[in-house]
Amino acid sequence: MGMGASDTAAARRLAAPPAAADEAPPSFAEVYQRGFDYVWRSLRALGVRDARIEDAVQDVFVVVARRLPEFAGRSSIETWLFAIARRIAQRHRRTESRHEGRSEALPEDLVDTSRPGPRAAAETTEATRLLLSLLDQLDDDKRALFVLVEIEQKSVPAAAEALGIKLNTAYSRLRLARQRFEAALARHNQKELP
Amino acid sequence: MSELSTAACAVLEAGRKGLAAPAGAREQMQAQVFTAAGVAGPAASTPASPSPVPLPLAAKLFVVGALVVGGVGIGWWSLRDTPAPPRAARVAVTAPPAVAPPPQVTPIAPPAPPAPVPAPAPAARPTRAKNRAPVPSPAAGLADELRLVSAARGALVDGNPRAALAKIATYERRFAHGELAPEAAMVRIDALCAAGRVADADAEVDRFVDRWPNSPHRRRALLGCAAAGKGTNR
Repeated sequence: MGMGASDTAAARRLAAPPAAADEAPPSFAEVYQRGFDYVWRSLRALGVRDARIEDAVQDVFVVVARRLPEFAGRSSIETWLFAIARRIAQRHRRTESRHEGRSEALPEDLVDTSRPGPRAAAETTEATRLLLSLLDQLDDDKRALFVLVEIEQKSVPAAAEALGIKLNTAYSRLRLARQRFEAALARHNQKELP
Repeated sequence: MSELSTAACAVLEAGRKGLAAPAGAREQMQAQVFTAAGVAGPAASTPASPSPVPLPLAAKLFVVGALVVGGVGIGWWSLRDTPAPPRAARVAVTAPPAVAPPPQVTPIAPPAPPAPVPAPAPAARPTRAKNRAPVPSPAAGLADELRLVSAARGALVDGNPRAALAKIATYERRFAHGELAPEAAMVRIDALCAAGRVADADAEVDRFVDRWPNSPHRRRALLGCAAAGKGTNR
């Protein structure tokens, strides 16, 4: 699942590094338009609760505005956005932990169907709730890699680059992440048995 | 490498649909995001939401900041485009308003205030002291904090970021857990930007957000040097 929806030149440009060093990075407006859905989805998968998602999305784009002039095309915009989203997600989770007395969000809080606005229109399914609770069983490093590979369907080399880790590390970490995800799912299914 | 089981793949496939942004969220958030990011709105090619646009966060912060300015004479620096001139703010440091501010209105989440104790009136300004409401003793410390932070901001306004950084360092030595620590940190960020130390400013932004995640200055901090004119708004 990538960022772009339409097969436009702009979408291609965001998904891939600039071909030439002298190619200007995309504008903020372009990144917002094409990256919004990707950022939202990444933040949710990284554990930002529904009640905080709009704040977190806004935080990501505030940072994007600050850092876009520094974006040198060393990676794709998508990779760059994920790195920012990951840091913002960590901040929001820490905030929850410090200020709401929670070490981690409860699964039922991860999808808030009661709030008005765009969130209320989200597909808040049991499946999403289950997925998020399983992802919660992974530590931050494994979760980020798992999200990139299994949800965003990036290649392992691309995910390794996005996370700034060695390829071998990425493969071993992904193997562990998959094992833990499977184990968490097995525990969940065991509980569900009559 | 082992792949995921069919059951796990099914959970992923079904669950990730609910991670998507709801329809219209991008358009609905556009105005507030662009305002918070300090970026001019995009061209008309992107339709805006037909629903009323909520008051931008920066404007809300401005209103809160203005209330705080009226109460304790600070906060004029919370947004760079605040119309209050720096000189007026410096005056406010030495001459607090006659009306005692409501103690619960503050930009910083404070601990419960200690029992009020009347402070001795400053000998240098007896007439002003007569007009003042009784000031609790912590206000004396707060006034000292204000004086230092305002002096630092004044140095920055005067184009001397090194002096501003020195004054903030003095502030932090004297008030390790000061009430105005977030404001002092904001001055430090701006001073680092003004001094061209963008990486140091970025690191300071990270510390700020980690330390005060709910500060009203938080988004302003996140803008970092972009707000100080070192970045490019597109």
